[in-house]
Amino acid sequence: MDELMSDVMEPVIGDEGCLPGCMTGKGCLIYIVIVVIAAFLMSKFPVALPEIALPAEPVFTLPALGFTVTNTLLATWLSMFLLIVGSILVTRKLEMVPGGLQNLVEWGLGVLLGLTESVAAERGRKFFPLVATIFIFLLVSNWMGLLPGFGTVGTIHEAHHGGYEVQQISVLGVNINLLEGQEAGEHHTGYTVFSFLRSAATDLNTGLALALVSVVMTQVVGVQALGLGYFSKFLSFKDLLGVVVGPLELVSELGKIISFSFRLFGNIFAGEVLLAVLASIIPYLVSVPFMGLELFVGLMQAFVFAMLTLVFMSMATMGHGAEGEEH
Amino acid sequence: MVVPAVVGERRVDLEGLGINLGYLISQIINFVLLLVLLRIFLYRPIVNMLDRRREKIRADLDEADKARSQAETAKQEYEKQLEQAREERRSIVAQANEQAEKMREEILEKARAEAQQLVAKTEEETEALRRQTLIGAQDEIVDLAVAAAGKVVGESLDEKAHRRLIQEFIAEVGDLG
Repeated sequence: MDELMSDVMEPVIGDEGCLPGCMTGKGCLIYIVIVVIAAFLMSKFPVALPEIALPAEPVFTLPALGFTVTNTLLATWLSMFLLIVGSILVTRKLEMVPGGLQNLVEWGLGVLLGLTESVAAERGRKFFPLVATIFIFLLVSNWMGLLPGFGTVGTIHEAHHGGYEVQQISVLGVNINLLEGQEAGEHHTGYTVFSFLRSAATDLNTGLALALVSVVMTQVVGVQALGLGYFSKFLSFKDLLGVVVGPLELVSELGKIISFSFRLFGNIFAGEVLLAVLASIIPYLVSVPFMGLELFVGLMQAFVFAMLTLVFMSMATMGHGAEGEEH
Repeated sequence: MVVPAVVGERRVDLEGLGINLGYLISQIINFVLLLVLLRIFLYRPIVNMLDRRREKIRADLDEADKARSQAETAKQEYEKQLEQAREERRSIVAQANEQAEKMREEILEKARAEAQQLVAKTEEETEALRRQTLIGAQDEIVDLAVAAAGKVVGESLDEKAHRRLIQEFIAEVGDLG
């Protein structure tokens, strides 16, 4: 493989050592070494493809309530815990002259506050907590889902079909099961991992919960701003247009719930699946750029969810056209 | 991949997507709890701090502006006073000069007058002295003349008539002189 690579690289490198857009001899050597190591690791330690399932996997059952805690719920609690402890630590001793973490938090919240105020003017202050919480929670849980251990460390279960061989090793007296790279044969029982943690947004319940809160709050601020006149956009007999558009408005509110939840779920879940599948095909290096992509997707989805909520809420407070002005 | 076995029934479909009322409600509760806690522990203190700082900066800037304008006014006031003082000094000096000039004139005038007076008095005195001396001399001359005449004539003429004669003579001479 070494020879093959240097044969390929030689005409490119040429006499001058490095042409624009090509590697130097040394860089090329490092590249080759890395590829060789990756290929070696790939053949020795293949990576199992985790079972891809839409519903979250159960982790444990609270005995008293009979409530089964899923891995997405656990991840939600973890990100909530981190956020709340983090904010208590940051705001415990605020100083007039900020430094370090306080600076960062003030900058972030200042940007969000400026954004809400630029969209919703004097109502920005009121919308800010909801918008900021959606953004911060989704950002933290999306990014946390990319950490190692998410979706890979958990309890072992029999797979529904397919599944992988299990190898048991003992570290300091603790037995640890590792999924082998080889798929289990027809006559063997295949195993799969129910991970302890799974990114919160890969559970449709999370997205749906946020979407419901967002849409319900949109109606609430609409009624607060316009009184009962707010509902005239759904049910109006003033003219033919109102009669026709009313039901459409109603459907669009329901559509918001679905688009909110499925957009978030689809993007984040697809990202996780992409990373898992890539890792099982080529375990090393290749998934690194996609990791960066998923960081961006996580940020964008959090931002989109928060911004749409903000825009819908400020639209709901404005009424529609001249009719809205009367109220 | 878990694909819902029965797609026709609605409930199974939702379960297949992982939607579950219990988890949905728990996630809503989670989110609302997070919202409330973050509002208490994060947004309120941070936004308060941002507002307070903004207020402080604005107040400080206003204060600085005020101080600057105050300083400006004080400077103008000071310059005005300085100008006034300068003007006053100028007028005082001018007045003093004028006064000094007047005084000098007066003193000179007085000195001149005094000198004139002195000269006049001296002249007068000298004149008086001369006159007196002259009169004394006249008398003596008369006496001498009377005595000489008496000697010559021998007592013929009485003294009184003699004296009158000479007196008349001298007056003639004096008129001539």
